[in-house]
Amino acid sequence: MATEIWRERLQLDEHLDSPDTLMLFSVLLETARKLEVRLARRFEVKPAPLLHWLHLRHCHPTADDLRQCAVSGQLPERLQGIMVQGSVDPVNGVFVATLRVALQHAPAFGITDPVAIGRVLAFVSQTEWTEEADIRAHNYGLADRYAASAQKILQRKSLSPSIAPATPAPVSPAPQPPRALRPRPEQPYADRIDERGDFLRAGSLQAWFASSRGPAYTRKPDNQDAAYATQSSGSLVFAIADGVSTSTGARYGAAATAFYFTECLADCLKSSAERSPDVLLKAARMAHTVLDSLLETLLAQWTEHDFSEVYADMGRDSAARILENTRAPKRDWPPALASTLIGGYLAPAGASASGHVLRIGDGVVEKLDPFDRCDSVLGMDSTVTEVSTYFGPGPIAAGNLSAAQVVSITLDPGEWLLVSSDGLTRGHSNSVSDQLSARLGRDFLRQLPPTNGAALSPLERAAAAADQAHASGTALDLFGDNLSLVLVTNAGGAA
Amino acid sequence: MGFQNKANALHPQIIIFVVDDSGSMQGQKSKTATEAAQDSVITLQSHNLQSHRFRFLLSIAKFGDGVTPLEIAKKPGDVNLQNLVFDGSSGQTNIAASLQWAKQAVEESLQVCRALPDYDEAQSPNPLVVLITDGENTGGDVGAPAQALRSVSFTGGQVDVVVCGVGLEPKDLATAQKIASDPALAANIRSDEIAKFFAAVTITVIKEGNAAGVIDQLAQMR
Repeated sequence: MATEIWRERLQLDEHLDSPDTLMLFSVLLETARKLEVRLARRFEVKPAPLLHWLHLRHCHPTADDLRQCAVSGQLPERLQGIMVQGSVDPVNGVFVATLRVALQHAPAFGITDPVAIGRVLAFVSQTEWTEEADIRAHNYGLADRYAASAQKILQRKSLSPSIAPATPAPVSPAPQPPRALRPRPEQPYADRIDERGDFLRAGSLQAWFASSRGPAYTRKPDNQDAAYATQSSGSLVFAIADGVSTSTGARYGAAATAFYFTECLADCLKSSAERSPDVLLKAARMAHTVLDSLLETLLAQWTEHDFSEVYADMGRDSAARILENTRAPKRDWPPALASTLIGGYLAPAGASASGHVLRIGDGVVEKLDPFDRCDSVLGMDSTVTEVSTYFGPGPIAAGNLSAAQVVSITLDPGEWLLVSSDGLTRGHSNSVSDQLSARLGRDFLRQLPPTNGAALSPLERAAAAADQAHASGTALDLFGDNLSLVLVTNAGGAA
Repeated sequence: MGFQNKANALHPQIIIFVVDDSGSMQGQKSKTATEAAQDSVITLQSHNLQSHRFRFLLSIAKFGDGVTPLEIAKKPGDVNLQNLVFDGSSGQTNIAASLQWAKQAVEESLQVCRALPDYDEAQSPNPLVVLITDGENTGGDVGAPAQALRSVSFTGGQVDVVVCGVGLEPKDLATAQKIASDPALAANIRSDEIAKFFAAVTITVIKEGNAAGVIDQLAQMR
């Protein structure tokens, strides 16, 4: 019985766990990964609290408990506290959505025991949260092996996954793909956490990140910037990507770049104590490999699925040729999925925090001391709109990695780090922080409340100020692009 | 002056391709023209991304005994690549008819642009008509239709007509020069330069929209 096995083992075992369990695990891991990318957030429940809830307190959930949770999105009272910090919205989160898929598909595999379903969910959580690379690799290996069988059963039962088309394995696996970051091409990026704004903490560090379309006067048809941040082994990891405007799938590529670079860097920080600039270059190479694999998968599935988020205004046929030309360049067409990349990490060390930032293309990094004096860490010429280099899939982008700039940063208590795409540099010659202070008020940083939605506020206010300046004729092209920010402050050692 | 302006959403450029699909184009020439035209459209599509409207308005036709319109006044993203196929199966070389169609395409395109609420025709690059042919005109006299095409009213500028001859005889080159809006805008290229010519047109309209730039670009590519 699952509950008994549960007591003895905290690891999936191909010889002891039934194929049905492993197939359900494969489906749910796939589902959770897709949702994580789509919602730009992690599985909100760590395995230990889930185990605790399921077994150790003998609070075994009933089928009704699970069903009610799936329908309402509300966790039972005794489950309060299992969500990780910052996951205040379980209704629309990864865990509850994965639970819904679990309840939908488990019967197809003959699994009806709610504890067994919960156990599989715990292994999904284990895969996503473990810092032990061998456990992650073991779980992904099992998921891979049982994926095809699981899909066959679901198709036979006419229970195709409800959230996205199934993902066949990549046609030709790229070298050294991080196992935990297999590409998922189907994510629509329609509803992104950075476009709602998000807040997180890592030790004494507090971070806000957000991305928006920018001022209305620019008439940008969409937001081709993306921002993302997470924490890893106590470090804060962040990235901003700005899609190249002539690049097919620029919005999609920017979102993938910000997410995969951040996750690759998080993975590197977990698996190694290395904290040198090399870790950023390693993460960039890993992310490039993931994007290569993503490109391969898009091409392999192009005729099966409607990747409208990728081809957008290009038309399917043209976009397919551009994607193919990005993989194997023959013509002088702008590359697909290309973006700038600016990202890095900060690791608290005592009262201070230190780290590195990498940049490929444009964007700025500024540091502000407690008196708001700005120090430009990475600057740019705000009058130049054409990017000199870019990040993305394909051999040309691989060559661009050698053009990456890496700088060291430290953040003492009371200091701020501001990372921005080029949008906030446009239309003025000041530092971004000075210009934002002038437009939004000197204390705009310190007035930021530690809440998710607050991160979007500076961008919305900046866009409104730019529209006003444009309408009045005082500044015609202020902040004239998509806007993205990552703001980090060192709260001074208080966790 | 529209002549030197770069196309954007407020002042887009009208581009008309008219491609000879007569029997003499059969084989490698029509195959190259197909690939080159599709490549050009893809490039223009890429450079139209992130525009809230359109930077370029494309019309494309092939001609032989008559004219077969492939696209008229389309945004780059709306052009169907599958339509852009030349195979040299359209008969003879009725250049006069192709010019009449080009005039109609320019006028329809102008109507589309002029219907835009904030279209700035005076700031827009001149409409660019590119005629590609490898043979002797078998239709009527080209003088009148060429003049009619060049005379389409365009605020702040004129319709630029570039003629690309592919291995033309001297007498046919003279006809090409008669059609072009300036004799310098009539080029005579080898059949293996068709792709280069399309690329020269594309680069030019992306960079500046200046018809003379097509010939300059072509010279640089040689």
